[in-house]
Amino acid sequence: MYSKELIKGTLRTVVLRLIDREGRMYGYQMTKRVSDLSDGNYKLTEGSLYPLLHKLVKDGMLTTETETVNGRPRRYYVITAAGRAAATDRRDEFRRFLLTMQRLLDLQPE
Amino acid sequence: MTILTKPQVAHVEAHLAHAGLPDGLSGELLDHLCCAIEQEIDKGSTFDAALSETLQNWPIRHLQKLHRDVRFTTKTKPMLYRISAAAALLAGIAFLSPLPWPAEADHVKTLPIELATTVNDFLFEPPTASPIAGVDMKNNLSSGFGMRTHPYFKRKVFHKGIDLKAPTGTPVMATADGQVIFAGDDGDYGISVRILHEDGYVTVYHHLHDHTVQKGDQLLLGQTIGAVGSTGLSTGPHLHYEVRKDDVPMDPLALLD
Ligand SMILES: [Zn+2]
Repeated sequence: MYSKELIKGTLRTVVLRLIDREGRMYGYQMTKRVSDLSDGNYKLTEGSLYPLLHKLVKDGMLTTETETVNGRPRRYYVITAAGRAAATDRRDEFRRFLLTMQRLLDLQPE
Repeated sequence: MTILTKPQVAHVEAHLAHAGLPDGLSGELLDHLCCAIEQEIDKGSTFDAALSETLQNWPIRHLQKLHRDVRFTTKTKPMLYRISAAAALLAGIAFLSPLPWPAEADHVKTLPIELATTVNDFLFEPPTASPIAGVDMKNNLSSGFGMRTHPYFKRKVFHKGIDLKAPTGTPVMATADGQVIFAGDDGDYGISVRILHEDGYVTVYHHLHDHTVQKGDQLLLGQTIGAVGSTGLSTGPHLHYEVRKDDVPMDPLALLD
């Protein structure tokens, strides 16, 4: 399991990328997807996920749609054009960051 | 794939009700918790076991903390300003009070955290989000707040809101959590929606093409309420957007600073 600091610094990048790829997602689906993709190592807690989602909505990166699924209302988050652009920017920045870290920490492929 | 029955969902709902969350957030977390329980049942657990495990992971204080965090992260003004304002008020009270200020060191240490919680709980920030997702209000203004020549009547009148350029059909969203108090045809203003928020704030959306919410609906920030149009006395597709505090119109752009 990764440290809180690492997750805090990358959460926004991860969530924007996920929703960008899927078009729209609901909260539980995101935690599940992240857990599956990371073999449980990247823990997306609800306590940090929902405040972030609401913030991204407020900033115009996401909008919401509510639909009834299995008899309950389900809130989907949909990416906007601004959200798409931000997702791409953050992903590119992270790619450069990874290369820098590789050099800084002298990481060799195992 | 398990799907919880209505009575089973009601168990989860009853737990959430204790937290006193706004309807929108409560509904969202209800779905989340139900999904978690369904997943446990899929893995072989009984409903009762899955329910008690999930609810144990979500005590009331966690739910309430989540609510505070949501409100905190969606605020615009820095928290420091709010805390220092409250601290100044408290210092004033302490100065006037004949009782001595408590001297224990650990009490003083915990004070800022308590203040942050208190201030966060009681101050509702005015709606500052853009009613059109991803569109900066300042960059898409076709008419500002205040005195102007009316585009239809060609005489000077007070403009109680702002007009935002947008094509017909562009989704319009609620700019803060609240309850719909009007949705329908409003004569010259065309198809309109009015939302009541905390602290006496009301937001108004005029000349819509249609509305997708109804009077009485509980809304969350960012929820779509209708689409941009040109209904009523309007010269072309645009959104007229107002923010009122205790019935007094405010400049939505001034709230951003
Ligand atoms: Zn107007």
